[in-house]
Amino acid sequence: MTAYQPLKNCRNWALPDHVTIKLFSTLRQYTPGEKEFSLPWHSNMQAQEVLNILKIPDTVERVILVNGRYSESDKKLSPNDIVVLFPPMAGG
Amino acid sequence: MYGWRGKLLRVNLSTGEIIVDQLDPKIARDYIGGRGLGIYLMNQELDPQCDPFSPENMIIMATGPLTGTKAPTGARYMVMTKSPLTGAITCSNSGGKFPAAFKQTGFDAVIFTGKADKPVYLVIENNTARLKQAGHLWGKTTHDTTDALVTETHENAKVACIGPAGENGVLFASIMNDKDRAAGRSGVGAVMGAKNLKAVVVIGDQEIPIADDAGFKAINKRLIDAFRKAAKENPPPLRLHGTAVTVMATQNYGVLPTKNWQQGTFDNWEKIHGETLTEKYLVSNSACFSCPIGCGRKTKVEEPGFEGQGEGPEYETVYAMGSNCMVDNLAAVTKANYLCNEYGMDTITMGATIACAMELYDIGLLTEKEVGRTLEWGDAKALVELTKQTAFRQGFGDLLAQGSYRLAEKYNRPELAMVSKKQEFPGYDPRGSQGMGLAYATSPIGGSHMRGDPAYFELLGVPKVIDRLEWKGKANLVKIWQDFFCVIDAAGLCVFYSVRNLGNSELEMLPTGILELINAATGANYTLEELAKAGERISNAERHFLVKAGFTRKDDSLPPRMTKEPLPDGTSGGSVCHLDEMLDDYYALRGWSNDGIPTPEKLSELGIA
Repeated sequence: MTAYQPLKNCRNWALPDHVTIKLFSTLRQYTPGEKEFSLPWHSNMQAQEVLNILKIPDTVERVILVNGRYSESDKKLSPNDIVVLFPPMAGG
Repeated sequence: MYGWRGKLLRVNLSTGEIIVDQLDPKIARDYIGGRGLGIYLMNQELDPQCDPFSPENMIIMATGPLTGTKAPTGARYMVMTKSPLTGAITCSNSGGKFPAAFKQTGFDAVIFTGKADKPVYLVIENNTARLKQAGHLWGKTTHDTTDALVTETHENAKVACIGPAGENGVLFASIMNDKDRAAGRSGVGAVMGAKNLKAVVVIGDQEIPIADDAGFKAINKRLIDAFRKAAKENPPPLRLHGTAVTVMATQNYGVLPTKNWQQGTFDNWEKIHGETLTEKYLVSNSACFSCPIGCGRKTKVEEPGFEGQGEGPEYETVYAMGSNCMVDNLAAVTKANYLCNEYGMDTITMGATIACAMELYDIGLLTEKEVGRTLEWGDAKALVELTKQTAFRQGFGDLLAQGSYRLAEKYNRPELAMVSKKQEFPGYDPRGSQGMGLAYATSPIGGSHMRGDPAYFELLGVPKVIDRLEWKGKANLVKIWQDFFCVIDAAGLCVFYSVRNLGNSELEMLPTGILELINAATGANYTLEELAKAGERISNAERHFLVKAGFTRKDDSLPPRMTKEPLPDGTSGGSVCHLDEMLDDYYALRGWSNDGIPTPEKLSELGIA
């Protein structure tokens, strides 16, 4: 499994070889420990890889934001991207 | 009739006369009920130019054909009148237990006209109704009034009432039912207060006749089974954390209104997030009649100075009183919410008006002398204190009681009020959610997200997400969703359930599930086209009333902060709302003139007189 690093322990999270992951609401259960953490970035990395690492089943509904923009799971990630995952919600 | 009760209750408060009227089956079919029935009656019977506080104004409390049935979330009713805040119509919607009990008394709606000499309340008990004196209740909070009326009428009574704010003419006073559920917006409670009408008490236990009882039960079972099955793998976030869980979405999208909409992100957002509410103050969730979701929050706060218990806060309250005022103290926000519930005020307009006052104070137009205290951004104690003062119109509260537009106008800066048609916006910045800007501007009640909510398809992923920063194509979706919401509101259902479970799950949303339920309940045999057309008819009938009241394109507006000042921060930074471009498209799609007036051909097509 790809190593993750808790954000607070990752002094170099802003360096161009990581992406930041944030999980909310019912998707919090898939966090490896911290609600925000970083994953090593590599070329050709897609949002789907984050879902795979976190073992979020395909049947679990989620909205994927990359840098605040809605994205599909095949969205290619860049260094320093912020990936936010939350469940679709009906209400506000 | 099936589904509908076929009876309207008319109460003339000036004369004390109460009569039972018949519901015309053709009107029921064309306008469905609830919001549709309300606007039909307003167009027929109310002078659109009337003073909202005059005896001439009417208050309509209307249920829909599915209210009080076993349909999932068949819990809603609508309060319609001419608004003292906006001069437009109101569509203040509420759930809880009161609306179902109302329908189970045997009536579809009650229509109040006139003005009582002295405070009164109406008791409706299984096909009968009587007015009773309410002098002993005047001045009481909504909670105390409810307790008193249950004690003096019936243990199963359900109560909708006003608090001191409605009595004192606060322009955004609400009508509270079941203590903490609100027909919140546009000042419906102030109109009740002007009529000396303190409360409506319903005692109803009649089952609502269903045309195809077995079929209706089968549809409901299928819907509930599907909901429960889906909830196992995808628990409804609203049940776990309430609507305030939305904070994390709007913060990440950069559309969380902050500092009177000068920013789209709030540094301390996690302190006011729904998950924080769950951790610190949640006692239990609560559900309206026949609701499988249960988004309500029963909460308790013990922090000194902010102690209390009750329901809330919802997302809109957390934005308006929290980030928008830069208040990161969730105990204070929750306390101010409790006060709004007990005094009977809309939390959105209350919070947004205080935020506007904070900006006026920040730029020096308001001073400590006028406010009676300091009013810095983030002042949690000021939030609570000014909320109290507003309900009783004490000191500076007398000005706050008129809402942000009149406040800002007094200091010659009306553009600092974040309103459309003088009603404050809910918590989604349209610079980062273009369709929302069009929805605010064209909503018949002014700033509102509940008249066709683009947040679903621009932010929240229902049925899917499309580009929130693109304005092209949004006019068509806003029109479709507005008409879809008209059907939900007219049927007596809750938006939260309906958008995910009773539509066709396409962006171009159609009321397929509502069609099944309504046809089984009423036997009316609508086609999908007829039901969708009824939604369009309601939208146009509302617009027709607004036009007669003097509203045109100039009123379908947003403040220049939304259209000219780019958001400075967050993931929507640099964006403005392209309202004018969307409005052109919208009017054309609606069949309205370029000035926003429905053409005679469109009105004729829909049978609107």
